[in-house]
Amino acid sequence: MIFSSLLITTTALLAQQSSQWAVDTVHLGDGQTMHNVLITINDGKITAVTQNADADDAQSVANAHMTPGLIDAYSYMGVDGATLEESRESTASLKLSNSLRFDAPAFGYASSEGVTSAYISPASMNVIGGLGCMVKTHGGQVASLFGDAGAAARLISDSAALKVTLGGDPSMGNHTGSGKWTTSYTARRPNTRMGTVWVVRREFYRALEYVELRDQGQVAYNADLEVLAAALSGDIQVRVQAREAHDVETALRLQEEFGWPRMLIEEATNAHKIAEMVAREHVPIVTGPAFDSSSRSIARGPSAAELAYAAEPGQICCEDYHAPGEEHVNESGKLELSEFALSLLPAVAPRYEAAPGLARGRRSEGSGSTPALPALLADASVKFAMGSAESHDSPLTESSLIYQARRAVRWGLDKDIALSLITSVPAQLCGYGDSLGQIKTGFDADLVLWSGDPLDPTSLPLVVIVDGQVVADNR
Amino acid sequence: MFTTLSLIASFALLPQAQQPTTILAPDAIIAEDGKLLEGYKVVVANGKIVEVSATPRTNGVEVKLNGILAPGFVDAFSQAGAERFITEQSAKVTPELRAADGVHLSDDAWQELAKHGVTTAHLVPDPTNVLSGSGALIATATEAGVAKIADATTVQIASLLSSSVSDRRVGPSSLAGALEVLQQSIADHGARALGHSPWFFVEDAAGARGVTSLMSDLKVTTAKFILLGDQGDYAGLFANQLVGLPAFGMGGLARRAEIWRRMAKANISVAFGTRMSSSEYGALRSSAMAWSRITRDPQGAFASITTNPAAMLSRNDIGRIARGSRADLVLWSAHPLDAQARVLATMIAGETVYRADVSTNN
Repeated sequence: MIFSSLLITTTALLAQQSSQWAVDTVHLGDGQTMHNVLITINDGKITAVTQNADADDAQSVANAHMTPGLIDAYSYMGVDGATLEESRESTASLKLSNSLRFDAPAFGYASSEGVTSAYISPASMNVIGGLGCMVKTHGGQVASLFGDAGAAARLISDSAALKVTLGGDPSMGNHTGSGKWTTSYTARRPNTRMGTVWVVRREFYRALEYVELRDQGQVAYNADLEVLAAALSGDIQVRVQAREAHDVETALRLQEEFGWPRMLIEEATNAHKIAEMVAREHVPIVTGPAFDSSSRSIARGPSAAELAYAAEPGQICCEDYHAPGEEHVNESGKLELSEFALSLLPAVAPRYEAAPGLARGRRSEGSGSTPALPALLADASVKFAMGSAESHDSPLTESSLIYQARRAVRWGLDKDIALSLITSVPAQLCGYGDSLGQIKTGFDADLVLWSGDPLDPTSLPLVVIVDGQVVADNR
Repeated sequence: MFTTLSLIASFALLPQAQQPTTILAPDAIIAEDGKLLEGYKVVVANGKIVEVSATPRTNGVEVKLNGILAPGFVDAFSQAGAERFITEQSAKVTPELRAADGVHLSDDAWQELAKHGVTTAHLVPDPTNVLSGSGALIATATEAGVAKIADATTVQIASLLSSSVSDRRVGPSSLAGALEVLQQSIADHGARALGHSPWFFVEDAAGARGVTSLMSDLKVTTAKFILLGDQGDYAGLFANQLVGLPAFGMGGLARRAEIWRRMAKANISVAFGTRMSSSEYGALRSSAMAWSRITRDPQGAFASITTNPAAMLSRNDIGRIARGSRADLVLWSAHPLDAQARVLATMIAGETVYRADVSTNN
């Protein structure tokens, strides 16, 4: 019911949208650049891209650049505890879109930074995490009675890819349990990297057996195994999160074993160490966030929770042992946490609170990371796009997708390639190569007008357009 | 006052088995749109309303009433007069559980509700399991002084509240898991698990969206939602729909007023229920009065405790003074949304179950 009314609303809005933009420099998204271009938008689509044409009522900003709306090929916007089912380690048929927070502030932060579409990944806590989804960052039905119209993400695919996680994330914090704790939550499995891969194998061999029995009509419908079967047949993309080089190699071995026709590797933090091997296997990658420092928390600044801790130190040490207001002292009669330690806390505490399980091992598994990863992968002819992971959860723009591209350029990546890695290439890798990621007749009118060269650190997104609608205007 | 007493006397004297046709002639009746209609008479026979007309064609004993005759109120979701916990925690899903099996029909609460103009209460299981069981429709009083089960299985109560999805050991540990449990129950039990019109207790946008898309996948179009928590955060998803809403409480008055105003603006109709909110017997009426003041929509306010809860339950035989409806009628000293109005007498299924003690003006 909600979705049918949503479609009606969207159509109604689109019907009114018709506009023209006269732009000095247009980056088409496929690596090409054009000058003095008139772009015509009708009903949410680009209907004409004309060079040296005149139009009296076209909108224009001197010296501005236009790019396609950016596409974040790997993101966790709107993902939180509600989307993470921890009672099993494989939740293949679980659709992230069913519990996603479409109203999360991240979508607003992202769209104001030029991101108009995104692939949203299930969290990395489960070995097989379920089905990720594809959204536009603006134009969805707003849940809040106090919100602005359209200021919510809009679902465009509820089963865009299947998430598989290798490495330390699914086992982090788990153990086998012992004594009275054998039935406790902490007895969650797997508890090693090997165990994680074992679960992947176990599930996919079950799926192979299921497919055989199903085709003979001998087995009851099983939603999880249906999804795995679709992954085996290539009807659905398999996205494997792997950071360490040996995890990437494991992914390649698993692909060889199960023949997943469409596999993509997420994050691939240390893939530059085996870039030639990845290129040889023709496996595409979406790199995770790359920072100058491997410590994300410093790159992103203190979280709201960390600032709250700093403001109210009592929460840190005393809540389990003392009533509120009771003085907290140790045996020697001194305060346990010094003011100095507290002042350091925002700088050193990892921030995992945004969504439990999402970025769990990134710090430990990113020890060999380099901001030159995109340049190194490009040099090795690996097919890849860039993603921001949790970066848009924060209003701090230094971690937004466009900054990721700027950083990659600073570390040696060609500018035109960098732009294509956040526009046309992610569109292709996400299965939207014929409607998103390029400024081209017939494509969705998702556009960003920049005050200058989008990869120049001084440039700002002036106007962001999603489906022909202006959703951010800073002119 | 004399005529009021004569009505009561005439009902009290009649043997239950052979109620004759009675023509009630109040000062005014309250029509479905909440407006006063003067000069209308209500003909009651065999516990039902058989005619509503200025000049009834049915013959019967006419009783003149001093006061306003209103339909009895319907509590959309209630917890009064039942076991303290109407839930079974030993399983994740308990679709077979029936609230009717946990009701205390002789509880004083029922009689009190009848005194406050509530003639029907929809008793619901606690929404603590993903599927909690079916509700029961209770007629709050009879001449015998006990409540009566009018429908032992109404709708399946389902819950996507955080309290029901926080089991990290056996699951579900999350909204995502709860939705999966729901889906699995439906796969296991078929549509039977949901009944003909499931009611979902939700408290946030994610839960509401999740259920909606799941119901859409299953082609279930009859699902109803009870909006708990902060409706301001997510009621925008229910524009132009009928939803259940907890009755008026004293918390967060200013924000609640603004939320209700915005809900009315989004053309959301509501059906009030007292579960999860006030245990005051007058809570339904005070909620409707508050809705009327806040939204300036007395019609919607009156519907929120009469026809809207009936519509949520897909019933047209309660909540209105109309031919074919059960004779659940309440005689008020003024329009029931008027703060000064008080109940003079209550009739349920044609039986007079309460009359005010006029001598104490109580």
